[in-house]
Amino acid sequence: MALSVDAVDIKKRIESCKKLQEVEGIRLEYLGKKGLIPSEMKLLGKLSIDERKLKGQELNKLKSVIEEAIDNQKSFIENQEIEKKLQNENIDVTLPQLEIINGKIHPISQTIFSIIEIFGNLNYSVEAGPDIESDFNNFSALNIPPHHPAREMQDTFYVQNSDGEENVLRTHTSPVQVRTMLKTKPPIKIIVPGRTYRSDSDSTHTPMFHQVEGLVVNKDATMADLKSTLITFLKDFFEIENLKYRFRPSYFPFTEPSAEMDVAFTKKNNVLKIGEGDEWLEILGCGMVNPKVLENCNIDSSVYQGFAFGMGIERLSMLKYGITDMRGLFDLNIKWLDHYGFSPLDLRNKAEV
Amino acid sequence: MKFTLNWLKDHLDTSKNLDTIVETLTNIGLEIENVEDKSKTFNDFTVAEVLKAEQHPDADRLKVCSVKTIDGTFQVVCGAPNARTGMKGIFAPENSFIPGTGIKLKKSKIRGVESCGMLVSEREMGISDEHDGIIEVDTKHKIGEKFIEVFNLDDPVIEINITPNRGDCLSVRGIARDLAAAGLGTLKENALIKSIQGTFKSPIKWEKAFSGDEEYLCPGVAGRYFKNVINKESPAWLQQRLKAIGLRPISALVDITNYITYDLGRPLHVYDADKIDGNLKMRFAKKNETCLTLDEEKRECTADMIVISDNQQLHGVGGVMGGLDSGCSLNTKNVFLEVALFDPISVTKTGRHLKLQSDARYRFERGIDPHSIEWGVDAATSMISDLCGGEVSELVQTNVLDNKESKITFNTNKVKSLGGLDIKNDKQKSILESLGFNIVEKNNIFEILVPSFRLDIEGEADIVEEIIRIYGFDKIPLTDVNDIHNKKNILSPELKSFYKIKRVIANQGYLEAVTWSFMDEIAAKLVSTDVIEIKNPISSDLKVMRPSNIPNLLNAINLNKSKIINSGKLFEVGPIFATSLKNKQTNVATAIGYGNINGGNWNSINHDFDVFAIKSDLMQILKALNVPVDNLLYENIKNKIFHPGKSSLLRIGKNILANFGELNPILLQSLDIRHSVVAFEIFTDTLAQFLTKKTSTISAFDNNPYQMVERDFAFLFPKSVKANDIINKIKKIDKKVIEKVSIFDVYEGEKIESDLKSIAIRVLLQPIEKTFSDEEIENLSNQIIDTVITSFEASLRK
Repeated sequence: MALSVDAVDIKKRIESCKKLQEVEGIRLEYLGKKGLIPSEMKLLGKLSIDERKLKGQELNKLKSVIEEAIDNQKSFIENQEIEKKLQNENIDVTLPQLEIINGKIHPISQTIFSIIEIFGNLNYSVEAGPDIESDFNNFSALNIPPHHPAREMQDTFYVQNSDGEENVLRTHTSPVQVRTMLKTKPPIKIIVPGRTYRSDSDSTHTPMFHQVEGLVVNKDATMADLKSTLITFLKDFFEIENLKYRFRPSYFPFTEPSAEMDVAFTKKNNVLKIGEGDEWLEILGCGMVNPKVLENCNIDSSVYQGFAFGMGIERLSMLKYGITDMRGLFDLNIKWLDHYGFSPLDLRNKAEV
Repeated sequence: MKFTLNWLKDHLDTSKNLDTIVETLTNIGLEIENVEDKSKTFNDFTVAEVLKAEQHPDADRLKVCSVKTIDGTFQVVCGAPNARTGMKGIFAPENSFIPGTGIKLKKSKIRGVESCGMLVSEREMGISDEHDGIIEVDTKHKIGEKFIEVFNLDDPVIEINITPNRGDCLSVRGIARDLAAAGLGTLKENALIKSIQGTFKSPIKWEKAFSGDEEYLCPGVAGRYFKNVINKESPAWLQQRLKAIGLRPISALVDITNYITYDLGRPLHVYDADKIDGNLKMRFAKKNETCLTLDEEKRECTADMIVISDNQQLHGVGGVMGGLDSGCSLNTKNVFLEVALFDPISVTKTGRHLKLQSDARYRFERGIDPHSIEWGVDAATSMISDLCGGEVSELVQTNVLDNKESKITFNTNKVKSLGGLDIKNDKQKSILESLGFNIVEKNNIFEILVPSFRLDIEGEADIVEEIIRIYGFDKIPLTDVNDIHNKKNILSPELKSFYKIKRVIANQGYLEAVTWSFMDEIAAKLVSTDVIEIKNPISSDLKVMRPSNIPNLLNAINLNKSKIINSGKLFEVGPIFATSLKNKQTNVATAIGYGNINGGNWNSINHDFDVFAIKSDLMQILKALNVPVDNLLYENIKNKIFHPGKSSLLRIGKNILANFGELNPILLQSLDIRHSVVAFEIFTDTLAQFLTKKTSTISAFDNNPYQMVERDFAFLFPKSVKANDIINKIKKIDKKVIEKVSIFDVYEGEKIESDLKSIAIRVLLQPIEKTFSDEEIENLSNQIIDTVITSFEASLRK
């Protein structure tokens, strides 16, 4: 006994439905409790085993064909309806987005990070010390005796100590050399970035500025090592392999021999270009630690020697990042800070990731 | 230190050009400050003759001149009243650069008449302000002769920066000696130093009141009496040299002292002998004694100053400046000379006290050759005799303290071990000898006698420097400075937190600023009573060390408001200062936020940055620095910076990690800020404990499979109850199971009693070993309710 319905016809009926109710009507007609297929199923028990098996299979096949067709048509209709709805859903995506304000790292900090990175790779560690210093640490221990021209009142800020002793705002980061030598046995290999103070204020001087100091003390450091260290640093810092430089004699009370280093530059349209040209820009002071300084710090100068160097962080920042006005560095102008500042993710390392 | 090239050549026999000399000076440590070579500036200008000068056809005041130059005859329109036929002047050709006006000369038509080049005035040449007419030169000068030669401007002026150790190079002779050592020529005999015999005994004697322990203050003084001299204008060569280095020629006697100061580094003084009563004496000033110095200032002396006096009055401050009353004038007939030595420190103290700088002080402070008493008198005597005539007395001098010879035993290996380069012993020796050192050589040991004028040479390191600076710092070889041994930590935990926090705060949207460590005293005292004052501040608004960094950052608000930036988040990481702190300072990361941060957008939340916004940033920052923020304890802040009711400090154990909250309106008002401002301060040193490096800090991930349960509760609490206490109390009930306690609503208002607040709490429960049964959940809920009610006098909200 064959079924009175044709699967192909039913499928066509389902696929011609435009609404979900129509589909549901067809579903009830065939699959509902009183629908064709359940009704036929009930009759199966009256058939012989062979017929039952045959017809059962036929019914199940028909059932799954109808179910599949219904599911497909349902999602088809639903999607059509959503699409219709979306046609009417419109926003102006050209409206400006919320501008999240990005934080920035100050150029002075970025420069210090850079310096720490480069010297860190040369195995220096970073030290720090207080801004309010004793006269001994800032001057005497560094072989700057009282009445030395460098101690002129106009250069140094003084603060009154509660016990009557006069303290100074450190005029350089060099007192940290003294502190380190007094507490550590050689070998010593440190850099000291930090705030420094001199009573000076004009377009190229600010009463507070930053320096980085370097100190190496061991048994065999030479002037050649000093010169090489500084060249290595400057090439890396300015990212110029063929940096044109000059290493020339100078004088500092705390080093002997003493030297200064200049880098060549050209100036075009008020923009400085570092590393080439015929003009020279002084960039740092350095020298072999004066034996008197070692002795002042309880280090035997007949056994140990070393070198020290110091440079101005503002000048390095300005040269590297093209900042023309030094006073801008200490300004609170939000536009300036945003313009010259660096993303906190701008990590300075070789891989640039 | 300034000098001219020709002056240098008085002492240095050299064939080297200016450029080589200039480069060498810098290379040996005598850094060039400036070189003024007028021969380049004035090269185009030459003597020319006005063949005829006729009236301009269209202008009354102009003349049309036919000018004969070395390059031919040109028509020049000229407005100078003194332009006339037959005169000789200075011609500037077409395309030359006129130094006084800064203009490049172009061919032009002046009122219809073509003008090629110009006849220049002194002002146009930049040599004076004279502009009444064009320069006229003596007709003896030939057409084509260079302007600079006619005006003696062809001597380049060199200015070098002498470091404080090189007092010997505050003289042209000292510089010549260094250049000779560097191979640029030979040092000539010093022509000025010749021995002249006196013909009579000086009527004035030198005396000094210093002996024994004090003798070093004025080791000696010598002089001579010059009878019947004629003081007058100095000769042109002397005037030109002084002018070239910026000194004003006065009279021969005065100019001689200035000249010898610069030529030989030997300050001198000449007294009008007829103004001196009795002998001259070096002594300490008496209390309240005054001296009228050459600059016409009355100087109040103190008892530690060395002065020069006769029977009547003071005639000078030793080593600093002479007296006005006995100064030499053009009427001076008889002269008494002073060639003295003074202790550098004493001169420095005196000069600083009097706030008086002079060429003499500058040299005494840096130390002068102790032997210069003898040769100084000789040099002055020969110059005074040559230029002013008269008769010379015998030498008068006090005892002169014996100068101890300075000897150094030097191992020549030191050049390699300290300087890092190989220089042969012969070369080392010849360099030192050319600088005036005397050497006795024994194998690798030099027994060195330091020349008396090199007071800066004290030990082997100084000798190394002398050798390598002359040999050339550029010859120091490069070495490999990479260091792969002794790997150690670059930053201590304290410094790591100091630096790392900058990136972390910037990452939360704050702009980093750097402000002064100083601030205004009034503002400082508003925020603290423990304020460190600067004794010599640079200005009154930078008078004290900042006790907090908040006032400095607050300066940003009005500054940026004026640029129509009405909101901002700023921070600075740096020290604050107080006497009570260790080393008087501590490092703080300070941030402020104000205004509607992301405001101004059509879609943004329309309210100002507030306490909970900055608290959220603060907690993110602390978390990023490994601070266990759930363990933070809240406490009231006891200072005047924060609003007393809208702020808190955060503590773990004894350490205060941070402060945050709204700033005190009284503080803001005093700084003229009309915004509310929120801020935080993080004490970076206290974060070090969380930044010590550990090999592995992450525990294994617990993949708990059991279903979590969420339960909400609403309670009424007295208003004084703190949310954090409620959260902590609930967590304590079962730390394992209660995974998270959050507050999703807070209500105060009409619907409840006025002294109560309603807080709605959500608790997230995580079963550990098996899924919760209904009963277990019920039990936990009841436990939470009981605990809250009994601990906080709370009630369940119906």
